Amino acid sequence: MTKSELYAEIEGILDVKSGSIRGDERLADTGRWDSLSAVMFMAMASEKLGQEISPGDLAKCSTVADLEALFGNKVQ
Amino acid sequence: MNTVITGIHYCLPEGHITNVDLAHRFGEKAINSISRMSGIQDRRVAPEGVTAADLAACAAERLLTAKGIRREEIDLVIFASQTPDYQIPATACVLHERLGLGQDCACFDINLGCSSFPYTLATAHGYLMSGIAHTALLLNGDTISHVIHPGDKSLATLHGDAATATLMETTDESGAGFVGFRLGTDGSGWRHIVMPSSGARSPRRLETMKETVDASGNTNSPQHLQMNGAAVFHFSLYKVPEVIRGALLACKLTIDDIDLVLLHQANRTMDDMIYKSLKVPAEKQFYFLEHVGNAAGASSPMLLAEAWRQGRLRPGSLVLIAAFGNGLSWGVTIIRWPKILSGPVDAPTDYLPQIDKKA
Repeated sequence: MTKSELYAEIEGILDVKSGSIRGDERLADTGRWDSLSAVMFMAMASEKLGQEISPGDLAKCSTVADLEALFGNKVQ
Repeated sequence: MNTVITGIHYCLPEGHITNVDLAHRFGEKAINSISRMSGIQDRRVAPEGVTAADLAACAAERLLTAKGIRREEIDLVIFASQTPDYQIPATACVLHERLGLGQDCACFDINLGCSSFPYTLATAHGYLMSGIAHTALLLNGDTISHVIHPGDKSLATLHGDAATATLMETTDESGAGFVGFRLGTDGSGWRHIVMPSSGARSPRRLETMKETVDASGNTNSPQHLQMNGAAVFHFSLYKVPEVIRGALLACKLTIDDIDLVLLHQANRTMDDMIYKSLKVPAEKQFYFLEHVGNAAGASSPMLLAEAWRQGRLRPGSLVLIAAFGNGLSWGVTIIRWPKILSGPVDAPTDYLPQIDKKA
């Protein structure tokens, strides 16, 4: 998956305008990151990237870039 | 000898909470997102004063009458619920009076939620196979909406109320009945679905009514049900398929052998992903939550009842039921559907509050 594809997925989860995510956003500041977003992100990771994301992994993420870093070289 | 389910019926309360209702409370955008994820459009909810026991009694009355079962024949009643009428005595005993059962009847409650159906089936199976009982009445249900804070978007959008009544008896039909059970627990996850002030550990006081709002905007209090959605989703997505695979292996079966795979109706996306993980083809999947919501412990037996009613179960069908929920706990059972049953259960009963209550 490319970075822009991942960001498009995150934009869909956060329900924000397409192309608006830069990567440096703090999740708490988006006003859209909540328990449902977390579940949708975990579902997307499993479906689209075959990657298990645990609640512990997510708890360590405070920015969009942190979410991206969870996937390592699966996102380029 | 084995045991079989000889009848199931379920009862739904008359109230509805639709997505339109919830949109007024939480906003249309939020509800649209949740509804896409959950697959739920409507939930049946019981009004104040109507309990899971009322719904269960209603389902049981209809079932016993339809099946022509004499009240004295029932010698085991299990009421599985987390919204009992009383902490003391067991609600099964209260229902014993309401249903006019004979005194040679063991009655007790099981305190489990969404995972309860396989546990009640396994317990009754043991009693019947050992000869301790001969005709079991299993009552699974919750008025879970009564313990969910109306400001908790994460739970109010998911759950509905219902109760089921299931009859079990022994059979000598070759091949029919329960092929296996697999029950399990991960107690390290008990905090993920909890009602903190609901028992002896933290009795209800004025302080436990205090409401807080979490980072996701959900309002709650220690006296209401609380859920760590991400942790529960992770458990469902990864542990449940593993448990199902283990149950199949223990019974020397594969998904190819199973005719119908029934999953606790937690939410549509989660169940879709579990089916996908197990490579369950579409013709072996079945859903029943769009208009009733996640009905907690009643969900799995209601799903089985509907599958039967809609002709998805035939004599000789091999059906797998997997239920999972708070504890965290899970149960899987595999059943060979018998040939001898008289037919599927008829249409569900809507509970009407005018029905006379004896308790």
